[in-house]
Amino acid sequence: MLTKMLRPGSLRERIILFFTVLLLGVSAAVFLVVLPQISGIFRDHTFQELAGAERVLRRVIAQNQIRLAESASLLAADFAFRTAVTSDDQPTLHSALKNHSARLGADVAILHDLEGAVRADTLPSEAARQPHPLPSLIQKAQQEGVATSLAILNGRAYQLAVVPVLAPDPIGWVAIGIELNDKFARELRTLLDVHVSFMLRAARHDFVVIASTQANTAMLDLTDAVRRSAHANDGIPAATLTIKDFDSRLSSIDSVDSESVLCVLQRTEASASEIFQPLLSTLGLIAAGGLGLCLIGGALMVSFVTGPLDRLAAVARRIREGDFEARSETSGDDEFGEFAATFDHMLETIAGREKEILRLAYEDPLTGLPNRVSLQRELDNRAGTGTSFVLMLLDLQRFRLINSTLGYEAGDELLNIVATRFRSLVKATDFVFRTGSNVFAVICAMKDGDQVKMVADRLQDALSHRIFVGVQEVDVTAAVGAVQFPEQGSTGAVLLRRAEIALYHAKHANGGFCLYEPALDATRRDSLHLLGDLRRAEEKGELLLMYQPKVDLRRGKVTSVEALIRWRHPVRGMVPPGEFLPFAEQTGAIRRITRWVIGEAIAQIERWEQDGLNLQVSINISARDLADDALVGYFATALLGSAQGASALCVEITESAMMEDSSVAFYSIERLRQLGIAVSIDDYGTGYSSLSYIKNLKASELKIDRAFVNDLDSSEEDKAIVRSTIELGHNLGLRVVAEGVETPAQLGKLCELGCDYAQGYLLSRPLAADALASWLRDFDFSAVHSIKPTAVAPDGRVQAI
Amino acid sequence: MALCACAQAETVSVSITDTGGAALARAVVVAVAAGQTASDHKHEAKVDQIDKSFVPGELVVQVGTLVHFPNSDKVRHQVYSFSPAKSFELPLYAGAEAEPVLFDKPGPVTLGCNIHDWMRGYIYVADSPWFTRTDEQGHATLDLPPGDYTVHVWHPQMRETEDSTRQTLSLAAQGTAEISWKLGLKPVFSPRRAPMGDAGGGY
Repeated sequence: MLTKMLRPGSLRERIILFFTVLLLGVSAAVFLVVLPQISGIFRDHTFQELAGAERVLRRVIAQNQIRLAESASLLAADFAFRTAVTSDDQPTLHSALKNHSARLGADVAILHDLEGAVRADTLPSEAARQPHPLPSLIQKAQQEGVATSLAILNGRAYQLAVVPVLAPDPIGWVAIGIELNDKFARELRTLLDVHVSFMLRAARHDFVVIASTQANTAMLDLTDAVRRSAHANDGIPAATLTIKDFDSRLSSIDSVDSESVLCVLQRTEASASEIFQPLLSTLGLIAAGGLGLCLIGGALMVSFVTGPLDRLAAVARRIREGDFEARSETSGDDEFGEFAATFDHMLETIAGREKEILRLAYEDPLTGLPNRVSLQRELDNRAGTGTSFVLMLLDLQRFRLINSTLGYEAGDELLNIVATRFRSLVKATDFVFRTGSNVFAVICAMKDGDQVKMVADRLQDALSHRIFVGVQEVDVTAAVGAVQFPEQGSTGAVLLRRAEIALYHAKHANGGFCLYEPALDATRRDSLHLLGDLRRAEEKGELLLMYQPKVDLRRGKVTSVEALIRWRHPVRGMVPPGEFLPFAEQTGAIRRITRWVIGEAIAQIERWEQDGLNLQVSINISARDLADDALVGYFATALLGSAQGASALCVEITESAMMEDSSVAFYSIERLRQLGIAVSIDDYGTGYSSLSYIKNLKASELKIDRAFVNDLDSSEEDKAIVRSTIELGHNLGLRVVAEGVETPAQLGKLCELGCDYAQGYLLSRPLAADALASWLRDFDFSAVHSIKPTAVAPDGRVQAI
Repeated sequence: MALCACAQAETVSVSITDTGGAALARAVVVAVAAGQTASDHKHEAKVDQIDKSFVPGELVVQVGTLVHFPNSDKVRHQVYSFSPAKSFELPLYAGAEAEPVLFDKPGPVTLGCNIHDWMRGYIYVADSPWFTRTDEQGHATLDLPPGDYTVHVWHPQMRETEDSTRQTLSLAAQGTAEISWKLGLKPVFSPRRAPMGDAGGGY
């Protein structure tokens, strides 16, 4: 408890320390400041007491003189005394004086005749009788009947009273006196409780003690001090002196002569400190007691203060560890209660906010479905339990199109509808997540791998029912990528990655569904590896452009070519674009590749120009490129040095790329067109572009997707599509190009349908620039036109770029 | 009070002032004839005590006079004198109990009372039948037979000794003489009377 109480640096210790130091400081101040003052006051008091004692002493002397005067008057009137006085018998007279003065308690008696001569006295020695002070006193007595004063006789000080001896006319003068001797001093000491000394001036600066209650040493000190003070003050010693251990007050009592008697009253300093000592002890006791009280009170107060603070600190610690349920539970009307209430309120607010943040962190605010983070948690949880399940990722196809054409509100509504449908399909133990803008995830507890396809079908079917966004009916489909636990991944991260691989494949192949298999992953890994090499390919000159001619079917001439990228890998040989371009698009590497293509195409145009060939070169621009703000600027810069200029360039943009983010794409296309670059709509027929959109694009070329050309000679449907497309293009003022022309029959049909240009293996495969030049020299359209279908081996679907 | 011894007498005018020139009243003037010896005639006189005062306050008698001190007060008195001319003490008495006192030596006698300090009286004992006292104007007359005299004066406050005031006077028949003194005076020293409302008397 004590160690806790005095934890170094704690508030508790500091408070107690503060009060202790404060108290000690105050005590010290009392001792240092007040005590000297009290001491001074006490000293003043001592001197005041001495002054009071002096007043009493003067009063005693005055009363003595009155008494003496009365006594002297009585003596003078005593008949027997007068008889003796008049007897003229000296011995009688002398003894009468002695007797009567003794009777009156006087120390001395002197009888003068009327002429001023001493007739008798009781002074000890006749020889030391001079000088005699009485005449002046007698003179005074003559006027006033009685005279009293201090007088020096034979080096001794007396209080004297002089009265006439009346018979009844004056016949002489009698004086009686009391000596200021040790006895008198002792009496005064008894009365006044101070030391009394009488001193007589022996010389100008010299005083001698004539009576004192002091011991010899103190008397010597006194004499010494008075002499020194007299010396320093022109013969008059100071009124107050501190002599050794004594506070001393000096005053003079006038005598009848010019001489005066110095009266010294002394009080020992020791007696002052005797009274002082208990005061010091009391103060010490108070300080010690106060210190004790301070420690106890401080500890109590500290517990009052730190108790609630400790509780609050404990609560704060729990909050730091994430426990927002902690409450200080401190009540009271004081500041701590108020603070605790505020604190608790703050906690509730924070807890609420935390909950909201958590909700936002784990939930998709639009659909209320758990989000990607929740999915990862759920996957980890499930992976921890070991129960088998399947994870499916569902990608809504054409969602961007809906977003861009119908607006984001419509997109949001569609997402909510889809979310509701998915949720209604799964069991209570299964989960639906929204993990991306148009990607949903479903976790289903499932043991049998065969069921996976079934569930995927059910989910896809859910979207096949008519969906209305507002009044607009929309058509969405979902690509599904699935992965099974534990067979195809043991951790959430692996499962998720593999599900994404499966989804990728589902989107680009497999008819909208793909269950993960290790081969997919290998392809994927391979692609990633390629991607690493791709970064260096451009620098090492491994990339090259091949050119496939577009043949003008009306004139049988070639005026334009499509540039197609190839990668001559040092190890793998020729890598088809389908193996690296999609990943280049995903990683953003496409930006640099596109720029290289632009630069290379323009350079090739220049080279051909010098060789006397005027060819328009088409290059393929992806959706990603269209979203690149800097692309148009790059075109402009690249064209600066070109003699042919923009008219020799054409950009081919797939219909789906245009629709993906239509407003951005439209803007980019518009700017390209303004540069003077021709725009071609590639793969037309696979997208869902509206006619008005195409019209607004002000494109100059329409390329019919190879899918329609493929079955042109066998399928009446495709034939009708191609025909209407050609008609549409012509109506919009576009030239129409057919791709993938592989047979003379197809070519024949195209010519018949009025198609403007044809491109395909039948005419020429993509050629290197040099090879193209020689091919052009040898090209004879009529020969091609008449060729019978031969073994022009199609080397698979070559995706044009 | 002057006594006339014979039928023929000459008048001596006396004038006494103090040193300041003020008339000195009630000064005793005594003329002693040359060769005269004190006669042994008996006289009697009286100094009463009335209202705690001697009455008369001053009295001049010839040597050999017997003075009575009757007490007319209700309180007792104790009359005394320390004077060299006559020192005596009459123990406490009332009425006429006290013995008369014979004044047989010349000189002033100061009377006091031991009970009442302020009571004071003077009896001057003259060694001659010729004496007088000055009036309020300081004047007095002496009717003396012709002859030689020594004249001296006395006053209770007088600083001078009696002897120093002696003047010789030769008085012829049918003649007149004038004699005068200037005397220094001592202050009067009077003990306070007891606070009874009664007035002190005399000197």
